[in-house]
Amino acid sequence: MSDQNSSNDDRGQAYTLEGFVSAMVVLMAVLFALQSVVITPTSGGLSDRSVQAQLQQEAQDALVVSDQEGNLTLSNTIRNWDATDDSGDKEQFYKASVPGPDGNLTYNTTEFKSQSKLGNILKQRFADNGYSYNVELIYETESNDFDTTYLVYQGAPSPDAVTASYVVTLYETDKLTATKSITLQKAHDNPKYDYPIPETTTTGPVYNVVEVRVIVW
Amino acid sequence: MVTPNSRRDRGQVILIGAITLAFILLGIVVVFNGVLYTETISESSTSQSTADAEVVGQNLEQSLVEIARQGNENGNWTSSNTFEDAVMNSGEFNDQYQNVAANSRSAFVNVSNVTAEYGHFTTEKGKIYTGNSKIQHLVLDLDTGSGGTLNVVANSTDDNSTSVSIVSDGSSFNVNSCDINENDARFNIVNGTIDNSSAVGCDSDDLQSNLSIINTSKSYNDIHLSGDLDTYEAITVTSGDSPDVSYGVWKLGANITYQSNQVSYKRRMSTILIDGDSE
Repeated sequence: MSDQNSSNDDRGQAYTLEGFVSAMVVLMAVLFALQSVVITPTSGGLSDRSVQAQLQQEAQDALVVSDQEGNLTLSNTIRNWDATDDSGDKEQFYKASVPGPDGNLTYNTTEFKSQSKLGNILKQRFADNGYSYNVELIYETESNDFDTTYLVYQGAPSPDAVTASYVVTLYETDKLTATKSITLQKAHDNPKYDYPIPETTTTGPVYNVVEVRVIVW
Repeated sequence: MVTPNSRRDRGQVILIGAITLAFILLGIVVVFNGVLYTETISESSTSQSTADAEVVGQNLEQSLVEIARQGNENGNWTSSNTFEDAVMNSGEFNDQYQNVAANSRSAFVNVSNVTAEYGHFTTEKGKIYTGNSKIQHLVLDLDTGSGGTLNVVANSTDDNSTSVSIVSDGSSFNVNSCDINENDARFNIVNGTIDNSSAVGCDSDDLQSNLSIINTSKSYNDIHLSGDLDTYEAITVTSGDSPDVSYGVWKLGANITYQSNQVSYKRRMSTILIDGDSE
């Protein structure tokens, strides 16, 4: 009888432990499921914070490097405005062909590559690897608002897009770098050329301060 | 009959114990993984901000130097303090830069305590009257253009004159049979150097002895520039007052501040010599 009782005691202990283990299995499953909600987006795509930081750093470096490059600096790219007016209708960046959201023509990635160092780097690193990007110029207007002109427009960015920006100072003596070498002031004032960036400072050699923003997604 | 039954139960307990241990280890791994992940996130965003602050600082320095240089060429600086005003007060450069920077990132960028030193700036040939004072700094920024010669004669107050001729063949320069393979070069005729030392095709000591025609311990009446070289700029700094009213900024410094919710950064930018190296 006592042996029988002892055997029953062991069995009770085993049931108790089985109960604990079952609870642990269920808890682990729940914990794992919760964890995987966080883990899933990090396992590859853009949402991974370290990948995003990496992309942002690369876009930032592309801007810095392209501002150091001889005749294709960022300032020259901003001033690459077609003032010949030979098309008879739209004023645009030199050899741009894609309609942008503000009515002006913008570059596609291949055109932008042939026109600037920045375009070259962005195409090699981002466009050729399946990323999309916009390149925007943001500047102050005469009424102290901000206005945006697009160099490259590939649609509205997705929520996980990353942004890098670089500020370029334009000077009063700077001239358009495309077909007609006239000062920015003339190009802005003459409605035939309609250069979008106005002069906003009253004194000194500065014309305007422009932010070049690259958005990658 | 009893003994085997009891053994079987013991085996079940051991098995369950082993499974429990395995799950505990698995739990530790999951928790540890979570800790590592959190750390990665917090680190990456801070280091990004630091890089951003550095880029903004560098960009501002570059803009200030370019403003000074453009102002020199356009004759914008009509008296001392006009450069400082253009950057910080009436010229609104600082305000505008602040606005544009704040529009692009959650950060405050500011330039303050701008200091500039002025010398005589010219793009004309002829005499630069130095008013019997000592010359600290004289830099010629030359472009080879379509070729030609620039003769520089320094007439000291003790009636001695020293001279150097810089000859351009349209693609490179030559100073007393020393070739300088550069289209656009800055010649410092006080210490006898040029800005890009790798373009010098002879021994740098030879170039220095030919080019360095001004003795900083002597006083000079004037510097005479002549010849048929088209494009050049000269900036002269004397120990006395500026030789005449053609002001040019030759040295500048400023405090640069960058503040965001992650990085707070303030530094004095190194003093930069316009048309020369930093000090």
